[in-house]
Amino acid sequence: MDGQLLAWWVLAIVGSLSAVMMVLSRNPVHSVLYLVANFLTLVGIYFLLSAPMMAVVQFVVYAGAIMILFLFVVMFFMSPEARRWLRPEIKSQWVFGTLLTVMMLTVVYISLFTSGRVNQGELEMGRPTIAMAGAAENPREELGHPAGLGVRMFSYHALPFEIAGLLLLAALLGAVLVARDERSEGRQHLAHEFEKAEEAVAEEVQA
Amino acid sequence: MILALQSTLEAGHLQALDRSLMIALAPVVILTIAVLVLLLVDYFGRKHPGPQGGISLQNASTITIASTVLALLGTLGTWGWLNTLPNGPSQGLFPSMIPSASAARWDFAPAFVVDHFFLFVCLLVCVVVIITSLNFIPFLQRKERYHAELFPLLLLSAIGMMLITGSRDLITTFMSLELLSLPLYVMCGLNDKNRLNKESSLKYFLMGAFASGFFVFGAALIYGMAGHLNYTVIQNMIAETAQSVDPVMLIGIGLVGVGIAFKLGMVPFHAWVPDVYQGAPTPVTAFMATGVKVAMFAAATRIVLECLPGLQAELWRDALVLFACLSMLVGNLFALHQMSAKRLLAFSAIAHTGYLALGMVSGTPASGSAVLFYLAGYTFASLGAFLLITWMAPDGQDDVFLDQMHELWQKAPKAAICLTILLLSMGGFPLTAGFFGKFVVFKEAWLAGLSSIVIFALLNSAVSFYYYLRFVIAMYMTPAVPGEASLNPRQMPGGYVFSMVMTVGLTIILGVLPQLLLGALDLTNLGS
Repeated sequence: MDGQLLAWWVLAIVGSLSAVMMVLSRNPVHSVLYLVANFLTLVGIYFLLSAPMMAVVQFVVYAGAIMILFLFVVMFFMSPEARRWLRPEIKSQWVFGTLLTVMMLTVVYISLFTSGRVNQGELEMGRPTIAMAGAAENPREELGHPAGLGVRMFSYHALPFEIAGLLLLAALLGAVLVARDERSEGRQHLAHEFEKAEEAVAEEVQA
Repeated sequence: MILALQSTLEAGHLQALDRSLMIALAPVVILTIAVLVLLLVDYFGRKHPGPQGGISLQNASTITIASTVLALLGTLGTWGWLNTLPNGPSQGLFPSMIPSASAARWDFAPAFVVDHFFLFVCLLVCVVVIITSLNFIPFLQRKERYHAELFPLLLLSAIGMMLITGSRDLITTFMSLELLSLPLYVMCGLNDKNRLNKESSLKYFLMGAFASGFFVFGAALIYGMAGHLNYTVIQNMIAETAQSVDPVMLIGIGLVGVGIAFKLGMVPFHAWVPDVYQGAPTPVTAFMATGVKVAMFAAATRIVLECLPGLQAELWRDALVLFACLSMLVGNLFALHQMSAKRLLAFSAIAHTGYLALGMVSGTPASGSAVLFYLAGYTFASLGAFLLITWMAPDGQDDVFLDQMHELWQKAPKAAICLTILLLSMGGFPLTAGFFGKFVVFKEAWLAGLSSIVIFALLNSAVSFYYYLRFVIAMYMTPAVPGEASLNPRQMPGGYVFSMVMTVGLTIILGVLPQLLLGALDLTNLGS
């Protein structure tokens, strides 16, 4: 067993376990932390696949930025009771969840094995002949590295790249629209609370 | 790495920056500029930071409508310009090199294509945006909610609708799909005081996120198998392995299909449709019911005609035919006893998805134009009907119920006649656009050998007359129930009058003289 394979096994086991624990954990903060662990194992797996760009993006964007955001949301917007113990809304939800997961996994695994892509424990995916223009000899090189990614992003994928800008604009606008109303409501709510408190004080003074 | 860069440059990758690109994408570019103008005017129009001030609703809608009319003209210009080009009426943009079937030479596979199919959908989307924004002003003024941001969101969604139909690459398709749905989630929850609005927005958002997940997972599996997300590559890959297509590829196609079927509201992925359509503000529902359906069906038709032709029919067509039949059946059965007009139209939209899917699966070269004709007829009828609901709804209620329609004929005869024509067109009554839409779609399905399914669809559309005529009878023949909160026909604002004339007029014109549009649609045939 060489070092790469050993590393893969460790990452795979830790990754699967943390994914399962993330779903099973009743404490949302723990769930988020398990998810961080899961994302970090994915970083390792991307490195093993010689995709350093993907690994770095996974590390910075997902394990870094997005998970911090998750933690903030959990800390700020959940009531303290819910933060400790999340109750499933639908009864026996886990039965359906398990059933669907098992069904999905079965379909994927059966298809992988019947397709003859799994040979002696090794999985062959993709076809280098079609993979990339310009660097057909070494397709992994091109997409795995920032330079290759950049070339494609500003040529073939220029349009989705621009659409991503519009998409972010739409998300920003939507967030402002939703949050602005919430904030003004919150202010009204606060003003109402102040009025009530003042009335209570006035009553006490009268008494 | 430098070698790879040089070879890509030499191969003409950077043709993408051609000047003709701007002309070919005229409608999209114009609407994008309009979004930025709206936002900047809003920003610089404020004296103080905060919710007060900014662009007025009237100005925002004027800019929106003017730019959309400009985009419409731009689309018409591009329509004519395409025919004059030396390399044919279909312009591939953003090319990537892929090995041809013989692998001895390289072919160009565009990520985006400007053809008449794309331009026709742009035209339809422009009409939808114009009519919807004409009707937003009276609606918003009545609700006393100030939301000028609505117009940029509307335009962003429209840009997504346009881009998704020209896309020939699953990444572009996915990004456009998100761009068209994200603004809609916000627009559904427009009125934050209304619980139904919130529910509709949240339901749509969760279901949409779920559908996107399916789509991305499927696209990842397809990428794993084909090594590329371009439709041409996928088609070649399927054609090469025609007899034994990889099961992983099939799962990928299936998951992408599930994602699209969710967006289309096809049974069994339809559960969100009635609640979202009923809960959303009615002008938003009108936009959603027509624009999203047009764009998603056009995108799905392109995928079916440009990715799947090599695939054996029993691997994908049978499943889609089953979904189409279920959609017709479920949509029509649940529509039979609806009291709410918006819910009725939602269930009838599910049934229409079934008819349209039938045209899509037929896979004949002309099926693309048949689907477009049906979509045009459905769009005008549905837009008009939703706008009439917006106008008729009593104060404090954003829907019309069957009991309230009684004696509409006496109160507002013009509205009653318009609604009658639009509902008959949806049912497929002769001399309306709906009839010829059904005719061309069923003809293509019949030619593709789906005769028994066509008979089933015909029976279904006969059933659908029951619930459309139920509302018609209520308008003319049933006496009003005393004490019932009745409709409140206001003076019709100019925008409504214009939209009603447009939708009803186009419904009748397309019904009496369908060859006007069918001739133009001959250009939109897809497939190799």
